[in-house]
Amino acid sequence: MNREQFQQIAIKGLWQQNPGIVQLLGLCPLLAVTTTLQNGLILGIASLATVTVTCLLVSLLRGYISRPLRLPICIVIIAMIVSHIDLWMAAMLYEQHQVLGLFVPLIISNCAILARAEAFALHHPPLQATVDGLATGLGFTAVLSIIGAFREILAYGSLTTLPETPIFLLAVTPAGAFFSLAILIALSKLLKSDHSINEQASLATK
Amino acid sequence: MRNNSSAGIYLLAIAVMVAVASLTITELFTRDARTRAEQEKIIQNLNAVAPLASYDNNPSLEAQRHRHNGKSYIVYPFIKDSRAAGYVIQNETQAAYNGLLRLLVGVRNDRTCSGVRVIQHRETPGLGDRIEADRSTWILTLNDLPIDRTAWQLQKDGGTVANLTGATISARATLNTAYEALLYFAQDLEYSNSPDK
Repeated sequence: MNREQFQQIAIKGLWQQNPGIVQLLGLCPLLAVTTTLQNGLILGIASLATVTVTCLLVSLLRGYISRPLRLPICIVIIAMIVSHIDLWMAAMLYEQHQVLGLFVPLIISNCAILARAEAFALHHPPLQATVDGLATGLGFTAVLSIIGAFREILAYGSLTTLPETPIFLLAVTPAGAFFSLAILIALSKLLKSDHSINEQASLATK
Repeated sequence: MRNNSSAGIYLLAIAVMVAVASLTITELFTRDARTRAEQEKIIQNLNAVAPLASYDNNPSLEAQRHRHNGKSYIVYPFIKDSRAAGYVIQNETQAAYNGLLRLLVGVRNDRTCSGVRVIQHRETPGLGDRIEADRSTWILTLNDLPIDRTAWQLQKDGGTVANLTGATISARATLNTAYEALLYFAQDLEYSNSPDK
């Protein structure tokens, strides 16, 4: 894999096709757990580990996976990795697991992960697939963390001390999650608008 | 193509076997750490619902499993001046919204409740999880309630406990399970655990 290819995969996962703000995949955890920076970050890292290992394994096995069975095999692999993470989190990060515990098993059904496994890892060699998984995972983690930090600051006025009751309740409600995501998408569109025409043209030719 | 897909079946079978085997190993490997963390949580919550402020024993080490009317309870005795001055009773139910709901219920010898805490549940995040003390003050309204059926019913069921909007089933299961533990105390524990026993 040359440097240009590597950059292309990384930029797509992190930015151009970011699962959180462009593809809008995995919205359930994205909206539900991002009430604080810590929650967003931990779930992001768990998703990052899942998608990276999944892409690597699927890519290694891609010669043996027949078309009709690709989805069941991908799901078994994802479910296995997530269950491992769930068990380790319960053992090592008990307090956080209590807070996020209900969402960790839901990583299995995050379609962003299945999408990377099926659309990319199944057709690319292990190194590319791993880089793609890492980039997608990092892109997702970044969005989760930014929304988490944004909502935490809005709701509690700081990232360090959590008062008993939020100052600005809307930010921690589900509606606040939608607003935060919308603001983030709007900002990313604003950043992109300069060269969006070029980008769309180059995407269309691929 | 046909051969290909039957080979795929083997791969799927192997993948499932590898998943089961590796998860079994991880489960065994992390079991100690997970039980320890759960135990710590129980000890913390025991203090939160303790029937009296100071006591002479270590209730978590003297826990006993009792059976009553076909249900199993774990009883943590609180001893003061070599007499049982109150108990915390651990009870659980499958009748919550999702999965197992496990509670600690503190009860004083004057037949009032010294507090209820949820130590394990799978209720809906954002709705049913407001039965946790960390999420809402709802469960604190159960402090000091007497052992009386209507005291342990939601307002919409004709009782006095505030409704939990969007989480009626979780709230009702919490109340019923706590009341069941209190009834066990009133019907059995109160009499059978005299100091000479």
